[in-house]
Amino acid sequence: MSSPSRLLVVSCTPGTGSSSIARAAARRRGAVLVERPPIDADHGESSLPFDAAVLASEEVEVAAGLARLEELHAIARHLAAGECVVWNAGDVDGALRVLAAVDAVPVLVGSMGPELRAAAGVRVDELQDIRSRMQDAAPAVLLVVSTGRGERRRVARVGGQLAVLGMGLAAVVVNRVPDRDDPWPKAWAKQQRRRARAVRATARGLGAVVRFIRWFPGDSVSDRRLARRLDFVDALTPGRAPAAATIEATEDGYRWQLAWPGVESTQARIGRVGDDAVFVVSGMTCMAPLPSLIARCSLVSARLRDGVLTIDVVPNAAVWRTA
Amino acid sequence: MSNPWWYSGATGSQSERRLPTFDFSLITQGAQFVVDLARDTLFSGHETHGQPQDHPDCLLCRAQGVMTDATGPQARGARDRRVVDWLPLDD
Repeated sequence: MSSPSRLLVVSCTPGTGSSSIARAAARRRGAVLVERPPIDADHGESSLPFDAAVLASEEVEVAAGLARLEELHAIARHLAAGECVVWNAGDVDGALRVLAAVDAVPVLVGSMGPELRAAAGVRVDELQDIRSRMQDAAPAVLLVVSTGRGERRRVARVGGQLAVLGMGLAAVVVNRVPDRDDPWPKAWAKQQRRRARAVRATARGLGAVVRFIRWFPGDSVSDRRLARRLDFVDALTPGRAPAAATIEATEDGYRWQLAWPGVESTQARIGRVGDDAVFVVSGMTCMAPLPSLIARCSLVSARLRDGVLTIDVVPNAAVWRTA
Repeated sequence: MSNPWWYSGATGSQSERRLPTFDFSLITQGAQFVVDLARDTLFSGHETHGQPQDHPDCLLCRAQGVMTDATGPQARGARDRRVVDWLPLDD
């Protein structure tokens, strides 16, 4: 059995909030909690003034997830010191952007010639160090969701996006689930519980551990109770990773297949830039070096069916060795 | 008789007095300020690079360029940098 992750990435769907869960998880694990820098007392605003709305605007484009370098530096520093880290990564779309950017570091660095790499100097080393420290810590993603409408679909979507990054969804916490014994409006509470169960079924299908957090009328859940409900984080391992990609010969060339469970063709775009693949899934951009065989081919067609991306390629005569 | 320099020309009627209008460009300017501030805060050395394509020796500018192409090539097709060849995805 694999050892528990040393990096727990706690993220949430929009409007849900992940702070209390992240704090409780950090306490349980005796881990360092890394969060966004606090509010700047002098200016009344964050010293890292990015938010989803600003990041979404066309003007920003600040290398997507790399805009959150301070958090990544803090994570790498604590991991290097041998500590466990719980990272309160906030909104899941932002968190995925960061993970995708970290994953893309070799592509970014690989696209630079030696002169450029020398010019960029220490920054390249920093990024590579951050990436390797995070990967060595076997990150486990814990997603906090609510019983709101559309949460089941969001869980499925996040599972698919993580699969594209080669990761699994380790755990899902459904926060604020009204209990049958509490004095909630019956019809409303029943609907909420139904949604929570739908989330649970989807999350379990992705191989995630699932916990409901009871919503107490007029009171928030106590820290002690929350910590008890999060007992699973003690031994949490990375979620179920997708099956490894395969390449097989066809009549004309090769067929490259990648497991993308839960991703639908309407959510995805496939592209190539030089010897790198570009995958955009529900707004998350990933880049990865093409396998060397595929890099020497031209991509002919792609299709996404039943959670499997199939790309057919033919050898590129210009770079194919014939001798 | 010409109007004195301080006279706006308004008739003084309450109904004709124009209310101040809200300038939406202020929001845009504010957002840009936030972005500029963020750049200054995070990327020392990178902060003066207004046009990423003018700074090929800066890693973050290059990263910015690659990510930009990847997230919306049509919208930014006129810009430089590496261009993504998109593959149609069949159902």
